[in-house]
Order: sequence, then C-alpha cells, then structure tokens
Amino acid sequence: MKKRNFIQFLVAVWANSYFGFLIRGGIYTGKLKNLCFPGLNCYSCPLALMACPLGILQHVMATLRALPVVAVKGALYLLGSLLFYGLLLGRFVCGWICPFGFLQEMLYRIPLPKIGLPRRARLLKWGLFLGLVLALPFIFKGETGYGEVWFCRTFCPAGTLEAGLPNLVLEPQLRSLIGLLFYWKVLLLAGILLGSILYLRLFCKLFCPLGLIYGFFNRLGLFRLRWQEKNCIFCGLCEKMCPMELEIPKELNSLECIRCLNCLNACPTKSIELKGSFRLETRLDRLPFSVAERRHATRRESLRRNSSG
Amino acid sequence: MKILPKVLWWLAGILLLAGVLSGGFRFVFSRAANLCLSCMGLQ
Ligand code: SF4
Repeated sequence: MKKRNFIQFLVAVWANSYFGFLIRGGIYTGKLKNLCFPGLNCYSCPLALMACPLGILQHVMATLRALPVVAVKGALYLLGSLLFYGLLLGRFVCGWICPFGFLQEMLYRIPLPKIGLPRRARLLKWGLFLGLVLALPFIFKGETGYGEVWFCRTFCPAGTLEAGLPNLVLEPQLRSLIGLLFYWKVLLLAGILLGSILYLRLFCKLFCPLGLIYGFFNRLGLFRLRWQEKNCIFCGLCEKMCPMELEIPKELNSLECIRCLNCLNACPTKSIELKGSFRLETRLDRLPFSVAERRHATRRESLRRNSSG
Repeated sequence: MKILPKVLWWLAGILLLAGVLSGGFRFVFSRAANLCLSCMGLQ
C-alpha cells in the first residue's frame, strides 16, 4: 500500500471511529460534531465523529429564509472553516483525506476493463453544486418555512452508503419509510460504485461539489505545484501517472488537480515541486502549455532547422 | 491580485472568529447531531 493510501485509510478510520452506537444506539452527539470534517463523510453515519461541510452548506441555504440570523451565524462559521481548509489544504483533502475518494481508489484496483469518459462530463458537478447544493435548498421551502437538503436527499452516495444502509440495519423502525426516493439513491450508489471500478474517481471527476469548492484553492492556497522547464526532459511520465488525466504543467494548479503528488514523485528529473507561498504568482502558477505540446513544438523546431540547414 | 491569498487568509480568520463568537458552531451541531432522514433518502 502506498503511503498516501495508508494516510487515507487512517483518516477514514479515525473519522468513523464512534462505536458508542453499539451500546446507546443512535449517532454520535459529542463535542466533535461542532466541527466540520474537511471531506465528504456523512454525519448521519453511526460511526461518524464530525459534520459534513456539504450537508451543512445545504442546511444554511435551506434555513436562510426561515431563520436568517441563525443561518448567517452558521454560514460565518462554515465559510470560515471551508476557507481555512481550502487555503491550508485545497484539494489535498480529496487526494489524502476524503474517505469517499479513498473508497473509489480502492474500487479501481479491482481488475476489470477500464473505460474513458469525455472531459466535458466533468461540467456536471457545476450543475449539482449550483442547482442541488445552493439554489434548490434556498428556493423551495416546505410548510415549516425551511428548504430541503437536495443534494443529500436525491444524490449523495456517501449518505446512502454511510447513513442510509447502516441505519436501516440498526433501526428497524426506519424501514417503514423506504420509498421510491430510497430506491433511486441505492441505484445511484450502485452505479457510482460500479462506475468507480471502471473509471478512476468517477464521483470526484464528474459529480463532487465539495471537490469543486476546494479546486478554487489550488491556485490561491498555501501550497502550489511548480514546474521547472530547465530540468524537464519532456518524457511525459507525469501526465501518464496523473489519475485526473491532466495536462501538465498547464493544469498543475487547475480546479481538477487532487494533489496526489503522483506527478511529482514520478518525475525522473524533479521538475515538479510543491511550493508554499502566501502570494499569487500568475507566471508560475498558471502555465499555458502541456509537456506533450512543448515536446512536439521542440521536435518541430529541430526538424525545421535540420531541413533548412 | 498578488495579495489575494493573504486577503483570503485574513477573511478565513475573521469569518471563523465571527462564527465562533456568534455561536455558529451550534448551528452545525444542531444539524449534524440529529439523524438526517433526507441524507438517507428516507424523506
Ligand atoms: S497534476 Fe499531479 S498532483 Fe495533480 S492530480 Fe495529476 S498527478 Fe496528482
């Protein structure tokens, strides 16, 4: 097991290490539930210790019209937490901390044929974020005046896997509530888990709104990836090793990089490095070409010189 | 633009402080410490 996978495993176990439900039943209600966990980890899971920031974000939107003052207080705390995690870790959360990311990576190890998907499909997560996380919880309110947590309710596979299924096993009285919505969520969960065997990090790439939020910090956060042209031999190993299928260095600090550091570790000449900085250096943090493009350009140039010489 | 990350660090600190002092963590607790039927797809 790689060091990164081991850390993912340890964090996933720690974040889900409440066994009090075996004695007392229900879910954990201790002090740690005041804090947001950085990754996607359902707080209704009987084992979970902390709150899921994506669930809380939807609750803020759903409460804004009924109890604006309460919601704004919650929003201050949540946004402060998200900004802090984003600036400190960015998508390191996805690559090293998120239990659902870890689960997908393990599933991909199952030796079945692998597939590719068009890059455009990754735009779906924008729709889920803007629609199910922000807009619908705010727009539609029920009789009580509160909105619904639409992403959790209709989509989140972590909720179905970590909360829905185990709670139905532990609390038989909940089974009378099973309806079409639950069947839909189970079907979706099965599709996403199966899809993750065939396509690496299917949920992260296509659907995860939390990854999208953290992605914005890849260019603004404390740690950024830098590429040094003077060392690069344009072997293209970095792009081959990238689980997110990114063009390097063009996309080293793009929304999509999960900071797995595969590229950095694979590079034979150490041309990619992780730098800490409190300043945005556009020239270094955003390069407009990929290693492959640069390699082709260099080859074209030398061919042109040879033929004219 | 260069100073944007620094501004965001300050903003994170201010928001967190304001969230803690105003009791925003209670909002998080009130939602996270209750079984959420919606998360489970049961409501
Ligand atoms: S660009 Fe590098 S750090 Fe980012 S996802 Fe790809 S391999 Fe991992």
